[in-house]
Amino acid sequence: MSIRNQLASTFMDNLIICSGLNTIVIDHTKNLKSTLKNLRDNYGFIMLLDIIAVDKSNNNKESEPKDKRFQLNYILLNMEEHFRLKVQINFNTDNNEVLPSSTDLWTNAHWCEREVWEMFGVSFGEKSEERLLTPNNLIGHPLRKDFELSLSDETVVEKDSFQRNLGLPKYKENLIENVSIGPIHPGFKGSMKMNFEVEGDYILRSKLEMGYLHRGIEKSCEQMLYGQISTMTDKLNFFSSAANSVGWCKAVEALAGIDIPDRAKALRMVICEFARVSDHAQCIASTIKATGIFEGVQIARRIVDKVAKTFYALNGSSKGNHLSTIGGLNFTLPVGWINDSLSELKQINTLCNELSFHLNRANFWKERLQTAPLNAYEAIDLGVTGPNLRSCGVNYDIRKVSPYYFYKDVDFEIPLGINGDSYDRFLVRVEEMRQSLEIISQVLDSLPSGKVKVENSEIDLNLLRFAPEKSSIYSMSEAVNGELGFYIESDGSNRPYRVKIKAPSFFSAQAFSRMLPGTRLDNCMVSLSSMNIVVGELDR
Amino acid sequence: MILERELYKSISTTRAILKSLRAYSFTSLRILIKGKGSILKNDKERGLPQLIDPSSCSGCNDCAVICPTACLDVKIDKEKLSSMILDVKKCIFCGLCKEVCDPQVIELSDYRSLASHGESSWKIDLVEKNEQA
Repeated sequence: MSIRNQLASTFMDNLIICSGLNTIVIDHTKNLKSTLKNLRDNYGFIMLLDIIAVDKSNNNKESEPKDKRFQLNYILLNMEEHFRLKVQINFNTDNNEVLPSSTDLWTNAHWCEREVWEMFGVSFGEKSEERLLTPNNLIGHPLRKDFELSLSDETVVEKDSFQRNLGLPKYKENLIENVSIGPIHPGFKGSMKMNFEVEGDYILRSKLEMGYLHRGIEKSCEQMLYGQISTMTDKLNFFSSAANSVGWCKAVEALAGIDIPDRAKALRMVICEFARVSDHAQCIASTIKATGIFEGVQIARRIVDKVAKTFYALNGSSKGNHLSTIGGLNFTLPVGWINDSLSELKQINTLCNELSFHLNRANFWKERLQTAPLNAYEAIDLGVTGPNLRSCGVNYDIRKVSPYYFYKDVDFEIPLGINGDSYDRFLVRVEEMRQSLEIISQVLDSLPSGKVKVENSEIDLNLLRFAPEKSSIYSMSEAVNGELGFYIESDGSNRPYRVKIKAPSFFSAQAFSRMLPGTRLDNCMVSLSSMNIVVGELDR
Repeated sequence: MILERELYKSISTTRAILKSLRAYSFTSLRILIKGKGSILKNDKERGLPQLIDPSSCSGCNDCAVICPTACLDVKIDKEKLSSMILDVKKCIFCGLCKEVCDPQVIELSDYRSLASHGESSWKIDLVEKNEQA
């Protein structure tokens, strides 16, 4: 019996299909915790992908129950059956109701709940009431529809980042020091702050602080047109812009029901894989830099340059910005580009071999990179996706399990690691680069002909007038760092009602702060760059 | 001005200054004689937007609406485009203005503002610039 049937027999009429996913509707907050526990224990939903909150107060529709202001969506994943489930609940917070926290079911729910509390004022108990992304002197909850910006004048007294450990013997207290790195550091991709409690060289406790970029991307999306937002999503993971906007355009097309031409699909795959090669090379370059080897950085940078050259020939932007648009692509393929990029592929492959020749067997490199191990159980519990999850030995890749575009027709393999330490992450990334090169050459060999943009569609594709019907969608794609999901809710106008970005780095960062205790302080930059945490993605 | 550190190290300071002055005057003379050269139109270039034919502008204001960073300020006088002020600091070269423009008045040039871009020209009037060219 498939899992869909099993769920249908248990939940009966409460199981519906909504926003592209099977959805279980819960009518009362009392049943929330027991249902989630049941789903995790008996139906194998071992990974929580995200918690999405929506403020329905401004939604002038008759069908929605007016008295329920907030909606929470838990997106769960069953990794055996590759089945995604949405658990939806509508509720009010008039009597300062506190929702049951699900941190004991999935550890990664902690940051999700903190985000929901600071953005919507929905509390999950005392632990969740701590600011994560917004500054401390902000009054109110930014993503509520009635929010107006106001800052308090009171100077906020900075708390100590760690509470005193009372169980510690007195003589040890003098040996413990607090060290912090950031907000600006050449090893960070963005700006954030890492606080450590160290004893000698070893880290006892660690804490990540973020919110220094002040992007407010989700709030800005509510005031922007659908076509404009792809310029914002370009800057999510700024080392692989092309893959991010492909994810956004795919989500909007799924929302509006647009089927793009085959040539556009194939070319989108090509630019996604090029972005993956460039981002992995960038990640490896920063890892090598953190260990202090010079030569490897040069090789990895040369790969990045080669990809930048191919992107530049497409539309003049060397980072791959503004390549895809809603309904297709923004560029026409220049004459001779395919030949040029095939010869570039050959050179990139040589550089990949050179990289592994220089590094794979070097004892120094192996020793330095055996840091911050993550086992498969922890990784799933912390919601880590992408190459970081695959390096722990979990075979999960959206390109394989729920293929989009032509990924089911191309031949490629998924590299897996064993220990999940930095060395495995490096090996997985290098091998993924090779597989990406293979995908690109296969697609370019048999590129479909035709248009690159939808021309006669039922819906008006003009950037100013594009307005999908009232509906919602959760659409995901395998971005460079893992699953990049977009939850879009539209109310029929030309601006989205709510956009939620499920960024892979957000969960990697949460896992990273839990991986560190026990490792040496000088290894922390190596582990950070091997996790490839890009702050542009996790900061909202 | 060319101020190379290596240059100062290898030869004495006075000689180095003279050398850089000579190089400076040579380049400026060459620009004076030959001119900067006309801007070659290349549609694979991505830079600040420029106007091709301001007289055919329909005055729909679409380009100002679609701009994600709100860097364009369009003024229409008697159904004719009187001024179009571009904030160079804000422009991200996304090309959306070119895409929505129905009469195809706007296109992207290959000129990008760099750190050397003068403070006096942070706001450019595109109509004026088009007349000068």
